[in-house]
Amino acid sequence: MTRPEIEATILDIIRTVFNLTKTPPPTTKRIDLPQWDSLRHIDLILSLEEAFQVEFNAEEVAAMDSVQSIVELVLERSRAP
Amino acid sequence: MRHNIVLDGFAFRLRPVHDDDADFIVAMRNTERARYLHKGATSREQQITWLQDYYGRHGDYYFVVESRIDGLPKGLIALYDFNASRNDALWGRWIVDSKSLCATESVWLIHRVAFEIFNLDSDYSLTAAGNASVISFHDACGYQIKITHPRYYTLEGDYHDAIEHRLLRSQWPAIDQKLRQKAYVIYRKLLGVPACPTPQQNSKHSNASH
Repeated sequence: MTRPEIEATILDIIRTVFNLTKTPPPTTKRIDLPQWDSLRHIDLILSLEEAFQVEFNAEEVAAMDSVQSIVELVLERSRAP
Repeated sequence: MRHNIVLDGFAFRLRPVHDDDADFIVAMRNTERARYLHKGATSREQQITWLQDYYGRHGDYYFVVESRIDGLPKGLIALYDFNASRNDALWGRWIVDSKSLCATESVWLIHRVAFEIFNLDSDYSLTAAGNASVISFHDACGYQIKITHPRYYTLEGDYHDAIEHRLLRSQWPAIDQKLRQKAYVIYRKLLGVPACPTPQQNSKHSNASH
């Protein structure tokens, strides 16, 4: 997947998991969305793992505090052997 | 009050607060995350004075959320304001290190204290209406009773509405399952092992002592 495709997928997952009426901008951070609470964060992680067929570790889960941080993480994983 | 309730979850446990936790409590309650809590002690000495008063307060159970993996404190939570006629209690003073990922399990455990140890008919939380992320968390838990209390309390001279989320015993099994599952996901990640089915109640991973 290309970066734009990854970003679009992540934004769609965020919109779905947090039940948003519209897709948030790519610059969205966790603090921008009240719906991005600790419980829904776990749902987000599980949806991302399913979509990208990866498993994130605890440090990565804790560090996911923005759309771009998630994009970078998924990109990194996609480059990994 | 002084108590000896210890409740083990998966990655975290609830254990009694004591004087050695004073520095941790001050640090947690003087962060930005604590802006919706009442101003607390700003020094170790003030906190220990508060704890001395707390130890003598019947029906007030303050816990440290402690990691079972590294033994370090990761948050605070309490169950207090027991009402005998309603057989309920308030849980709050909730503040956690977000990087620890203990939030979900800490709430699961405090509900277990309420329902499994104290056999309450319900427990509830009161959240400042402006604390959107915590309200969102409570909404996500699935509590079916949500009440707004206008101008319920003051913080630094300003009135704030409070949002009550109440969990009835009859609804607890479903919430228990939901929070247990989520806590287990985090537990497996903290251990660095792949996901697997969530253990059910009374597994060896989870026990209470008091």
